[in-house]
Amino acid sequence: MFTRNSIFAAAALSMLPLFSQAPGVSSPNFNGRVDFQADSPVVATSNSWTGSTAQPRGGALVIDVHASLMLRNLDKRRIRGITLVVTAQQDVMAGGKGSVSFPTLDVGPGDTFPIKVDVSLLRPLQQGAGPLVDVKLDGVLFDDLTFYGPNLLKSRRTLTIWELEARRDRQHFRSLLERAGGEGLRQEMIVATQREKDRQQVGVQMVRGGRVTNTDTEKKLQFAFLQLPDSPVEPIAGNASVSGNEARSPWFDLRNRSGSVVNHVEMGWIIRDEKGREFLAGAVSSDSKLAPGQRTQLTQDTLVRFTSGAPIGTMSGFVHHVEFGDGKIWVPSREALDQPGLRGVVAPSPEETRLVRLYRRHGLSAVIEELKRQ
Amino acid sequence: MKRHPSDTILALSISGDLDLRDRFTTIWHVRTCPRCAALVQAFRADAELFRLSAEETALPANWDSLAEEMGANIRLGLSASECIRDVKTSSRPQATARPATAVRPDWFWKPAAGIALAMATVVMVWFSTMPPEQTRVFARVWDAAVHGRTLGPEPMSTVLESSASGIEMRRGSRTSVSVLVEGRKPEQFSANLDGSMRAQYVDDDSGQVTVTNVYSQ
Repeated sequence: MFTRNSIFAAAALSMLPLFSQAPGVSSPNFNGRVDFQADSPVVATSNSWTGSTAQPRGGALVIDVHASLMLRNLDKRRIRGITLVVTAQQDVMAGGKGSVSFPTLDVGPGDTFPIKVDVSLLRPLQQGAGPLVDVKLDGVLFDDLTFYGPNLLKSRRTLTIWELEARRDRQHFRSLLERAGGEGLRQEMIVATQREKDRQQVGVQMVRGGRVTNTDTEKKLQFAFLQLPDSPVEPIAGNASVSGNEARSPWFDLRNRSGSVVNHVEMGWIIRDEKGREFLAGAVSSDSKLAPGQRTQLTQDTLVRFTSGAPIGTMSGFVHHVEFGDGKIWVPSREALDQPGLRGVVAPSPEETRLVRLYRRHGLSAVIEELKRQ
Repeated sequence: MKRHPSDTILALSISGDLDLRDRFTTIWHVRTCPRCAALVQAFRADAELFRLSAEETALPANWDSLAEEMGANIRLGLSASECIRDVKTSSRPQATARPATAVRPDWFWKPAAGIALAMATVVMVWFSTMPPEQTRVFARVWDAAVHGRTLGPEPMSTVLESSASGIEMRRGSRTSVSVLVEGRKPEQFSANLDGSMRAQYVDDDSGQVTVTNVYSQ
């Protein structure tokens, strides 16, 4: 016969498994591989996979990669950025590939530098033997803007954009330091810190080819364009289908007003919701070639849903960056980004983020010392 | 109707207790059958006589006094059972068995309440530890039931979602991965509508900027 205490004990015991975590499958013996090309300008001198796990879930293996690598620059040039691609499988299912980029580097010839790779991937449960994940080099950008690597993830463009933005922002802070002294730079750092705090970040759900789920009537909403005077591409018209807090299939009509062939355009998309919050919704890009004076239409069959919940009020767009046929890249100037509607909405460059963090952590003198470096 | 209805049917037709079909056929038969019409007339006269005699009969007591008497009996019974229980409690060491009709012990509710509490805790813990891809289904149903939003089909395409804690990728409601850097929240994230999302982290100590990209294809 059950006594009162035995009933309580049984109830407590039945709940124990709920408070315990499912064990990781192979944290200590995680099978990861660093696989750089033989002629790579960087080599991995050591690696550690501590903390990496692989757990089955829903017919797939969820792999949490936490790797610490020590890399050495074998080249004579200084490294400004690097992108590593981490793969768990070759395009069998979505989620098998991720990448980790490190902009704002300054690694001299022969120097070693540490990097951390934190990414989660999926792979089918039944997959052959071999390493769970491969870490490969997608590209390295040097200080002369030359590039090495297979560039499968278009790292050359991304790393170059970050480097050009870094040069632009460092030049801006240097000029300010020369013009207004340390106090002027301090004020700029305080303003940048406040701007970073004030910038709205709204959660975004994105589905390629997704359908609108709101019951509200879908309507076409026109883009208003923020004009950047020196932009090589001019946005002429644009719209997107909007319903409540969802938008899909943005469309742009663009014209190349430069004298060079354009290989790639990325449009920034800013949304102002009905509560008055303004945020960067995303970027829409095109890889179609555009001859001087030629027009093109750019669209993406993608649904985006904003988790702020407030209905979309107005939309604006701007040219975020442009890549020319010769590989050169245009990025907006600081002055262009200072116009109302852009500053405070567009994210600062990685280099500005780093310098502001340096100021907050180590003070103005550390920033001034850093700006002396070329 | 070729056969005469039974006396019971005829009596029931007087009191209006037949269903519609039987009532109709019985009335139709009585209209054409002198024998049954006479019987019905006799039943009706008996019923009227019974009603009149019932009205003349006085009630044994009025309802208020009956209610008071019943309430007093209940209170007396409760007091008696209290007395019996006190006696049994004082003589418990000698008691060897409890009759099946014994008063329910006062701690009887405690195990039941304990089990109910344990079950409630189990459900709460279950919900709080359930993976987000499963609670999302409940959220969708809740949205549809409470807010009246359309319960659209769960997208089978790969969904990329950014939030303050990082980027999550999922397919349907079953499998998902989250790109989270332990102990750090992304400084910023951005979506490219070609199917990728980017989260930017800054290491507090080294100042190193790391950008993690997740691809839906």
